[in-house]
Amino acid sequence: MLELKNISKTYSNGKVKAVDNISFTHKEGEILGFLGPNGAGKTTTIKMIVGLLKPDSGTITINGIDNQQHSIEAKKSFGYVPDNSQIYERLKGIEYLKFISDVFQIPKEEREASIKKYSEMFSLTNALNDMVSSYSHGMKQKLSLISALIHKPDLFILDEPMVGLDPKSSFKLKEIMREHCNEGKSVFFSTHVLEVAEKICDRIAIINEGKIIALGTMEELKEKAGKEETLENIFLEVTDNESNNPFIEN
Amino acid sequence: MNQIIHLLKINLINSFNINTLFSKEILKKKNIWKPLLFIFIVVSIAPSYYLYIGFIENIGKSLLMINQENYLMVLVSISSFMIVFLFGIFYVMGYYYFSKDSDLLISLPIKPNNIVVSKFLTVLIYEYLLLGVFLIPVFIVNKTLVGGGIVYIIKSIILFLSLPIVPLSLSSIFVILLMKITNIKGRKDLFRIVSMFAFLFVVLGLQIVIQRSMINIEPGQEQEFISQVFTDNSFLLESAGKYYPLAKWFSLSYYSESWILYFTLFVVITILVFLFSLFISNKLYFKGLIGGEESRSKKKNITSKEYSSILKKSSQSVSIFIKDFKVLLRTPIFLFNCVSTVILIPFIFIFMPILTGAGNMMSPIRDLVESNFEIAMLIFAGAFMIFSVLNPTASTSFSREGKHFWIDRSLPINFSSHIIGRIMSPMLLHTLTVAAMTFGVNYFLKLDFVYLILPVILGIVGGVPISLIGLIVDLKRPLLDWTNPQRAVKQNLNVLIALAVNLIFMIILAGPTYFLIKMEFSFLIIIFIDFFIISLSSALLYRYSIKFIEKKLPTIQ
Repeated sequence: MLELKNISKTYSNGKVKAVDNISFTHKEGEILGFLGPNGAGKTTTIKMIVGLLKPDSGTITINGIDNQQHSIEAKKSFGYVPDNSQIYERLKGIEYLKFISDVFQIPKEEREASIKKYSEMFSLTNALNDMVSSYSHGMKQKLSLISALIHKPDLFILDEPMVGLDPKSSFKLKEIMREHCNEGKSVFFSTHVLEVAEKICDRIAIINEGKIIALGTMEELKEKAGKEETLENIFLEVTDNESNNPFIEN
Repeated sequence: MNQIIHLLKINLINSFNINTLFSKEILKKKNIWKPLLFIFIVVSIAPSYYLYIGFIENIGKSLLMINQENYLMVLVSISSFMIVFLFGIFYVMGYYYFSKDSDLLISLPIKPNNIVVSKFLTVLIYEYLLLGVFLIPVFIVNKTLVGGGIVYIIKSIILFLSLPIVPLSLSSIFVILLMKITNIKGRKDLFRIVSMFAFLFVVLGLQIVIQRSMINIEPGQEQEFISQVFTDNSFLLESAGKYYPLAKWFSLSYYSESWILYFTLFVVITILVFLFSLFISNKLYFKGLIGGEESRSKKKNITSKEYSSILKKSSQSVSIFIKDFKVLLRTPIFLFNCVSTVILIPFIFIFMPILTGAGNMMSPIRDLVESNFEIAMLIFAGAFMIFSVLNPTASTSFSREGKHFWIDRSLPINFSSHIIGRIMSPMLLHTLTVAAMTFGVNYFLKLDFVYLILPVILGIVGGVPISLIGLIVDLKRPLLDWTNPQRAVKQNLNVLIALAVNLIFMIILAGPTYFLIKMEFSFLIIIFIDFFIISLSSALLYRYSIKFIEKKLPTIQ
């Protein structure tokens, strides 16, 4: 579904290494949680996957399509929710969703049904006719989620999706993510909420200073840590640069 | 005072991108294009500026010949007043109310007065830059008329610095009152836009009426008027001074023996008006600002009929156009800068000649057009295209997206749809402008519409390569990092670069046309060749723009 091979990205003319030669494969029907401290390279990686940043080296394939060589075809396969919901303030919610539906060329009946389903699910129906400028942060986040779901993407990519969502919507989102995977599709999301990652992820990847330092199921991570621990403890341990860190190969 | 200086510093850094301007990066080889670009723009605009200087010199000489040289400074101060006042309305609106930093500043323990003064000074510095370009030649020409040494220079500097303060204070007062009055729930943006245009029409109309009555010569009194002009060297100055005392004092600061009195009067009144605007700002600025960005929320369910009509399927390019055009119309700053010409042009072409009485004087022009019909039609076509060159809609198309540009960039939009979708807004506005101009021209020249068909088509089609050039220029270096929409359009260098490139394109088009006219080619052949050049350049530019956007989109950071 999603494959990253030797991806690197630097900023400030190569002085700052944001992502350092990372590779991993994300399988179909799987929720992959992407964890890491602030500035570890999570958002940079996600932006490279969705085509907002160009990697310095390496390849990214989505559904077997190289996202650099065939960017439009690759973009048809995913729905993306960024960490900051910057949506046109001067459009109505429904107008924004119509724009997205047109871009994906979703048939009329299908878009109507999708928008109805998700707007009801996120309790946004009665706000769709309002300008986005009147929305709260959480409402913008919900609109962004709906826009990423209406074309039923094979891969659902979310950057910090729980931020700003009320508990009910967070719960609904987790349900959607699971249902999505049950249909054979995939979810790739970054988060700081370790409890969520622990509960819903099939596999977890931890990135620190631009490198993937741990990747596996909860059981595999626990095994590597050498003891029965919570994800929080594992996270603190793997992101610790001390020499006795079991996740760092000396 | 310290707060004002700090705020001003931050405003200037933000507005003029000073950090980039003076960074060491500019000295690197890969940034060599920046100074080269600056030289290119200066060189492209230099011929027009040279013509402007000649024009000012001629006005000075002509006024000297009729013994009315003191009227030069009256003209200059009235024009500056109008320019600063009208531009000031837009700048003040942008800086005081639509700049995102205002929201942040409200929450900080800063005195409202300091915020207003720092914002006023930022706009004032911008006005100085604008006025400086136009006024420096005027002060030089005036020096040749009135003479003077160091006193002249010091006096001119003080008068130059004072000149925009009164009109800018008045635009601030107007905008602050407007924003306070219209800060009500509901369609406040619409209300504000309509009020602004209504006010602009009133000011322009008033200006025209005043000018008419200033030189109102009764039939049969022409001889007396001319003799008065020659015998009384303050005749024009006094006529204008009745309506614009500040302009009179401005001029008399140079031309009167008791110049100190007029100079002091000018400066003191300027300070008083500025203080009064501060007083108003202090009382009302925050009241108009707080809640100013609030939008009405109807919280009303959409009926299934509405649902079905809104969600009708469109092509990618049409959908991009609809989105782009809605944002353009609903963002006041974009609307004023990109759409206002369409509204103002019919006003200028229809109401102004009626009000000034110039409409009655059109018959010689009509005769001229009829006797040089073919050349006139080509000139009309060129004039139509110039309006496309002057409109910033295409050259700010990507910049206007600002922080929302990630949306288009992460979506599977065909490269051709990007270009076609984005060219539609400037082309629609251009077509409406051409239509408005055509009706205006036809109203006075009473030409048969059939005659105008070819120049209208040529003028509209000519907008395609011009808009494509605008899009390419903007895509090359889109200005996406802005908090004040004013920056995306008014202070966007891309507008100037596109203007310079498009002027070169117009010269390339006008050159062969002029040559063919000289060679006495038939009108239809000339039109056909122009169509060919426009079509060929459109096709080449379109192909290039598609390749360019494909390469550029993933690299924008």
